Amino acid sequence: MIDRITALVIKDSLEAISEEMSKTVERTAVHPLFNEVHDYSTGVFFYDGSDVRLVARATAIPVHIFASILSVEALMESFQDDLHEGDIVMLNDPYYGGTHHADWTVMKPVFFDGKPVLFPSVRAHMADFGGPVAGGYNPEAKDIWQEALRIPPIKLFEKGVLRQDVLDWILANSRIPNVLRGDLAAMFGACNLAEQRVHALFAKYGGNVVNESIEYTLDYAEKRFRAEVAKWPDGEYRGSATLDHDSLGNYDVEVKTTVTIKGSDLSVDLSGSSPETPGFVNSPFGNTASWVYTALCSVLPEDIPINSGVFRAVTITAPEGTVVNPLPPAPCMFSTVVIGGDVGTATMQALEQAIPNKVGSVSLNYCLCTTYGHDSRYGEMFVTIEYGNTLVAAGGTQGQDGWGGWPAPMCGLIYSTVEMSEIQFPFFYHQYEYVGDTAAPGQWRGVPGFAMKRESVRDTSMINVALTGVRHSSPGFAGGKNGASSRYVLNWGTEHEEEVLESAANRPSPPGSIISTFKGGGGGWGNPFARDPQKVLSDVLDEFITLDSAERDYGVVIQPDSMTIDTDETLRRRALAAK
Amino acid sequence: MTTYSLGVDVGGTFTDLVCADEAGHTQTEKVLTTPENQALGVLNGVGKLARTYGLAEQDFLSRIAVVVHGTTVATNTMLEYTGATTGLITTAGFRDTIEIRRNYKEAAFDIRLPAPYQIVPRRRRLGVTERIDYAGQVVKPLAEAEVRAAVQRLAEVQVEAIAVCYLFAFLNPVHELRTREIIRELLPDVHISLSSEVLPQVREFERLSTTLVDAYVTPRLQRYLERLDTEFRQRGFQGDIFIMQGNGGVVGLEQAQAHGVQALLSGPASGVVAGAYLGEASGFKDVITVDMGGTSFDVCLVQDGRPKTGTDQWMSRYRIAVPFIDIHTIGAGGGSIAWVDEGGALRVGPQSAGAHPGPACYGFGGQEATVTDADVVLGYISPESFLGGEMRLDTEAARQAIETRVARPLEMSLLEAASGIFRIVNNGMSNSVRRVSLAKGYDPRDFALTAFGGAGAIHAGALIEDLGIQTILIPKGTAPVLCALGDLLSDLRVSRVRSFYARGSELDLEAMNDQFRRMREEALELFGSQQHHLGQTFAQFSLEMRYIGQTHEVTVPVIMQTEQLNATDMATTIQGFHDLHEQLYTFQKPEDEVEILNIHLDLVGQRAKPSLQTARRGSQEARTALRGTRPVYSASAQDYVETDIYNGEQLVPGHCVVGPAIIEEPRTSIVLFTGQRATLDEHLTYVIEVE
Repeated sequence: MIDRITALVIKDSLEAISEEMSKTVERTAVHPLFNEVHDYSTGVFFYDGSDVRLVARATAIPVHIFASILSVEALMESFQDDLHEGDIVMLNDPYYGGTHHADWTVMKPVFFDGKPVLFPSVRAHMADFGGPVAGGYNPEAKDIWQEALRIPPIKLFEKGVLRQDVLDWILANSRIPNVLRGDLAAMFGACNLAEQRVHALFAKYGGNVVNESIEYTLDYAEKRFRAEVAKWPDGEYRGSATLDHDSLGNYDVEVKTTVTIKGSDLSVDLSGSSPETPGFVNSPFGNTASWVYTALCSVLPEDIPINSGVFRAVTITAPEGTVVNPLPPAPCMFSTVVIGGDVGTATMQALEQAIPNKVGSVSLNYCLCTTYGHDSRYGEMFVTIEYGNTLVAAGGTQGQDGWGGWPAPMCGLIYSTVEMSEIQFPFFYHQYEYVGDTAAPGQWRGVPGFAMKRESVRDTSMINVALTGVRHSSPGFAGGKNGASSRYVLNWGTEHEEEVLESAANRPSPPGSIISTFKGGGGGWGNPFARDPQKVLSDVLDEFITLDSAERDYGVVIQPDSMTIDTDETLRRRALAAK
Repeated sequence: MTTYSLGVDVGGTFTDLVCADEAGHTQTEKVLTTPENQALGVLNGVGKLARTYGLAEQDFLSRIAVVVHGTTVATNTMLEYTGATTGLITTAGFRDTIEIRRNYKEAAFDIRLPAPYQIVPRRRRLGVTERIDYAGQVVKPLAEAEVRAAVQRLAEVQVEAIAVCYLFAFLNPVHELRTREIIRELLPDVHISLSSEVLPQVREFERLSTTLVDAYVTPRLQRYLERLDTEFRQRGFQGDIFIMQGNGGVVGLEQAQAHGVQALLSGPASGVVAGAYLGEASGFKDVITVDMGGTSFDVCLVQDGRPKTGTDQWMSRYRIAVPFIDIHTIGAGGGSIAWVDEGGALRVGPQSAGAHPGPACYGFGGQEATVTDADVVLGYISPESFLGGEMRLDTEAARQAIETRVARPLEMSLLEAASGIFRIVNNGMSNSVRRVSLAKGYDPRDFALTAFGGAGAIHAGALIEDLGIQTILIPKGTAPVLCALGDLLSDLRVSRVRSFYARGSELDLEAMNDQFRRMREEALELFGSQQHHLGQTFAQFSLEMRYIGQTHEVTVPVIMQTEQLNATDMATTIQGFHDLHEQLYTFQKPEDEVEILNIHLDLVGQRAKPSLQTARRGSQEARTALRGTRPVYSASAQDYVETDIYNGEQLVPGHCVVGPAIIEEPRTSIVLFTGQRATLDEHLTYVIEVE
């Protein structure tokens, strides 16, 4: 048997390698999606001769958690015996190792004893990669070819030599080839660095010890996971979530989950979810599974390593041809946040019945806003994703109000600052802050809603938006209220003002025109009439809520002159409401 | 008449003092810290030192020319959140930047992670109409009436400090300066921190957070320093007081009182300064310092005698982006608790048993198995000679704790469990050393490891085996008061950052030289009345550079042949950027355009410092110090092996001890493995080399 202490030492070292890769990408990539926003993940995968396992990952974007395994599987299937030291492979095909076109995976096989054993990989959201719409989000796409360039596993380096023709072909398809080249260089750098570190591990411990340690690491994660699930009550729990629309006029797309807990076994069945839909929200299986795990990990202790040991303890069923396991060529660009998010919400709603004290929002009710154009200051084309339009989503949980921006699992993504955005893009921000009286009430309330007003300056840019969470906002848990509905207005404050309820593509935004957005936060947790009146008063003083809201939503009466709580009246209101 | 220099470092438990006379002879003192008013503990220590010298307190104080002081007042203010009632005036429409915190959360998945305590809650964050754009142009003038109204509102809640942070104020501070005038007019006594002065740098979240922390901690630090100064002067002190800063340098009292944020984390910084000094004295300019105490392990990389600085710190969940000595900390120390989790894995820390009840072997009733308990069971620490024999350790309690908490749940032998704890904690520390070295492009094998703290010397031998390092340095004489020594040895240092945008190919050298000159003058001014203490001053400029499009910068030192930067210097600096980029990230892009974002200035004013006395080397033969033998765990034998034990107090310079052996010092033990050989040098530092 493997020496357990050595196994733990190797486990920690592999995690340290993932972290180091992550830092390298962050510091060297070119597009703000990497270095400001962190929309990427790094990990180390293991191939035991038949199966691919995730061994270690750095804290990053959860939608990449599971999907990258499929990338390495696709690589092995494509190249089999044709892998060599110094090869670097990439892919983005949603139906062959990917999730949506924007997420590119770059992988490097690391050899021991002449066999590829470990695969450091970086999966990242690229800024532009070919297709009819800059940035790839085409709400009008009816199949994957209308979304972007589809790349199956290809070698970018062969035996250490760059395949310049292949790279040129990829770059030729991007609107911002220099940016893409820089970002790929960062991903190669991270993989090369990890290769050096992995070689050092092999040299120190030998291949067998490393392999056995990996098995130990996976067993360990599985044990920890099962120990947790065993504490939850057995039963069959159902949840559902509904997406407003698919951007092509199909409404109320549903995700259904049945979570079954029996002892330490857990399964999630998504049968009953809507059939795949013509719009770009279909969620390939890798994406769906990633979101199930995101919900599960959010109710687990923080220190359980997320690796294939956890994955093998869970059974996920998603019938083919549904919105949670579509078949090619269903379009899927938007699925990493919507439908994906709905899978997370539906899983949480099922878990709510088993473990109410642990649950809360994990998804974003994401609203999309991409902008592209020409910046005359630099004489360059730009493409960017705005986050100010969709900046809040955290919900209340037992013991804690929703705070900051998004729920913790989505916080690997770091928002750009207003100052960097104005330097990098032809924008001017007028407002970027919380809005009073918009937090979802609860014993523990959601994060307040958020308003952004962004003006186009100097140059006309083009805007694409797609909203969700208008008709179906973030649900509350354990008696908490739902979050507020989101709202977008183009050409705000002019006679051409236009409210967008679903989506809008390629809208010109000339200098001086303002896009005004409001994003609702996550749901509340628990009955708002059970909220500590002192917290309600504190929210009034902080202008998160008004006196009216204190009374109406929380049953707390506050004397406006002295700003003190009228205890008797509050008790009376609350008793009355309890009847 | 003999005059003295005094270094005083206030730590969590002890206040350490080092006093040097002109000849470089030192006396040390250790007294209990008085948390309510740190000045009392300091004065108590001064009184004791005076008695050591056989002087009346007044006489002693009047002979002290310089006091260099490291204080934890600012750090504690953040740790305990006991700062000033603080308000914020900011650009209207951007009131919640500090709460949104760019989406940072200190958890991977935990949706129930508590929110950070708001040092400036929303009710005291007020927006006013004003706006400056990305080019530094005023696009909306400052609405002065709104500023007045905001100040009135803050006055009603009795704020003691106001932070002002406007968008793009780092490019054009005009609105912040005017706001300060208005505040001064209405509230002459409040402390004011302007973002354009605290951190004139792009990215409003980082600048705002740093400015809020500055406003929050400064008033309390100010009051403390005033009191200390008064107490000293009333007792006859006529010299100068310098205050240690987080950048590893000191500044005069007045300057220290202006910006409290600079004093954060100064405690660990002085340890690093001392480590760098002692390393250099023993002939090692490139060292990695590791400080392993009861609860934490601090690592810092020192290159060419200079500790690395960085701007990535968080403290008490607030982002602080001024340059500090770059110390990486993990929760691993002698008191770290070993436990077995639900997956059957042995874990060490981050919980610590602290000083009370402490490790099981302390006999204060602690039931948890700690790293120190493992060290006792393995024979690395002798139960009889701990703390110079002042405290007898309970070996049986240590064995019992490890047996119950670790060995039995893991179905291991006691010895396997204890050595497992030792390996796990060491691995965490090795990874932490790799993070400050390998992960930043430095090979740890090119460095010596300087180890201090109560547990540092016990674990250093194992660390270097893992890291491939060839040399360990362990200070002997001054180890217990190392931070106070660091204070005493620190130079004046002002670190300034200024935005300066240019592309590498179209750089206006004249404009840059202009900016250099202005920054140097400003920084010199900050030395103020202390200038008469200076020997040489020396300005190190660095440029924050990146490839066009990148948004993270690499800080590249500027090497100048003369006071004026010329084209050749600039070409060298740009080449330096390419090389450093490759060192850090494995690649460079020499064909790509480079841009410059910020200028850093580190202005160092060398103080006249005591040159510490050295001893003379004698013979190598150390047998006279041999205390005997006892069974000590050997990893290669996987069992106890009878091992030589030396009494460190009887070792003199020149003595050489060959491992496996243990040298017992009053406050630590030095564990030498097979193939390691320790020589005590003339600076009273153990130099341990791998044969």
